[in-house]
Amino acid sequence: MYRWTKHRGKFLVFTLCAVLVYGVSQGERWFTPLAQPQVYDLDPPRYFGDMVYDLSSNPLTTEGIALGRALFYDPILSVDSTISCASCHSSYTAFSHVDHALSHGIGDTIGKRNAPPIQNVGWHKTFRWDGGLTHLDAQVMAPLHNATEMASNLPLVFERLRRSDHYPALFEAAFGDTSISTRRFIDALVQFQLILISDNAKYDSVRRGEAKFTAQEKKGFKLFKRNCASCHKPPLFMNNDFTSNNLPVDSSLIDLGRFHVTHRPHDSLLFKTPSLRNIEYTYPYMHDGRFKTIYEVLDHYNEHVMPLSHEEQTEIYAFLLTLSDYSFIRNPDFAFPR
Amino acid sequence: MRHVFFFLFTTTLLSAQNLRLEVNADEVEMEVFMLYIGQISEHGDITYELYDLSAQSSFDLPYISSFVLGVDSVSQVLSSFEGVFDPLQGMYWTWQNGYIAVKMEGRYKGDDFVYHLGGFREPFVCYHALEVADHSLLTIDLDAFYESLPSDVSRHIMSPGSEAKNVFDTFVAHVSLD
Repeated sequence: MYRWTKHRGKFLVFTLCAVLVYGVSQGERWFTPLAQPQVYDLDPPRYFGDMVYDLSSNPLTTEGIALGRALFYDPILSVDSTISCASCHSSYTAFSHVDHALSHGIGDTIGKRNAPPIQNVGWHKTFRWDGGLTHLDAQVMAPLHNATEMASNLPLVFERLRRSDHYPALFEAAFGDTSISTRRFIDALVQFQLILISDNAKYDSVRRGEAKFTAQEKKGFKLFKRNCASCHKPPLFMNNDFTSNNLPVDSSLIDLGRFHVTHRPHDSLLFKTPSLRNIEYTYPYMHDGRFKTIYEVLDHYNEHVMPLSHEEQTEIYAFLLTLSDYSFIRNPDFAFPR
Repeated sequence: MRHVFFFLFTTTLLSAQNLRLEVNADEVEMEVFMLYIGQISEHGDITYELYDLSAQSSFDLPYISSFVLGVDSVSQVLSSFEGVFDPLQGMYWTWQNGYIAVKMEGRYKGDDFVYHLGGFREPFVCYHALEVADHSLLTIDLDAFYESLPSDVSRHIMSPGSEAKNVFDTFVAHVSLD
């Protein structure tokens, strides 16, 4: 986080004076905001390892994040101004869409896949269930243009932003002037998503030595490490790879997953391994949301992947609940800006 | 000395003012014709330009011996999203990252076609290096290109894959140097 120091205090006073002098010389523009956006220091746990996203390509600032947050929660991004990013990625459910097996777009259109949570995205190498997007910057435009999501387009959105009474000022605060470009639009939305770090589940407290697993959670973690962790690798509980857990293909969706991107037969029915962090909040499960509860998922694994007794399933379930991060889903800085 | 790149329909020049042509009873109408062409410097850097037939009839390029058609994989994945790579240009796939190398939409002999040819994933990479050496005229006869497409090739290709790769390869095979 940003730390106040004596030195910075002096600098700020100097800057304010300079701005005031400049402001007076500009007549009525004496309220000119500080020209430099405030650097935002991201402070993820060291055990998360290096971020995949190159922050030097898009340095985080308080103002950039504020703009990204405003855009994230604004329905004017969709063609008929009805849905925002948050419509399918609610902060209260780790930025996933509960109760909806498949994503839900404008005019009640239904998409083909389950909206995944948005958390710790700086560590992802690919995006979408099929990994069709290989950069977080690129992800921004996918739901915006998808006919069953926002069905929108950049020229339309930019026109609305330019006409709005507050976006030009937000762009100016974040980037130094009011001009609105694809690059700035992407950078701001990405900045907001990068700060959505979930690192305060019970699992993390245990890892930091601040808490202890119960006997049941401990047994569950042991089972998890033996059976699940090669794909759902701690501490992020994912592996940035594609796999099959022997789900039969849905006959109405005919979703072949990774194959749609690579066109290689051996990629058929492979899907990106999702992170299990906040799994308690992100139901339903699987790329098509076919399972409503964690027990249904464990049942599927027992029948089609690895045998797990009822007791073992309960222990794994207990461990999975230690990945719930309540402070993440209730963080006021991530919620709808008021 | 500079290179000039232009497009023919048999022997007639297809131009911004002349997007609909009829030659020997064959008809072509180009509604959209855009492509990326990159100039490779001595140091291997690539500077890209986006050619748009509706805005310019021929493409004037500096005299460099190496060009590429399409966009290299690094520029596709780590896009600047600025200038010729701004998605506002209409060459960016939004549902996956990457740029269309050649975009052609129109009508040929009464049939509609939509070709969005591109892709950077092996083995369906739509990216072609052109060694032009001393030649200064680069032309593509679109009539010969269409005629050489196998009859079972789809007239609507809008995603990367084997079909896009085949049509792209046919397209670049028709670049002739004079």
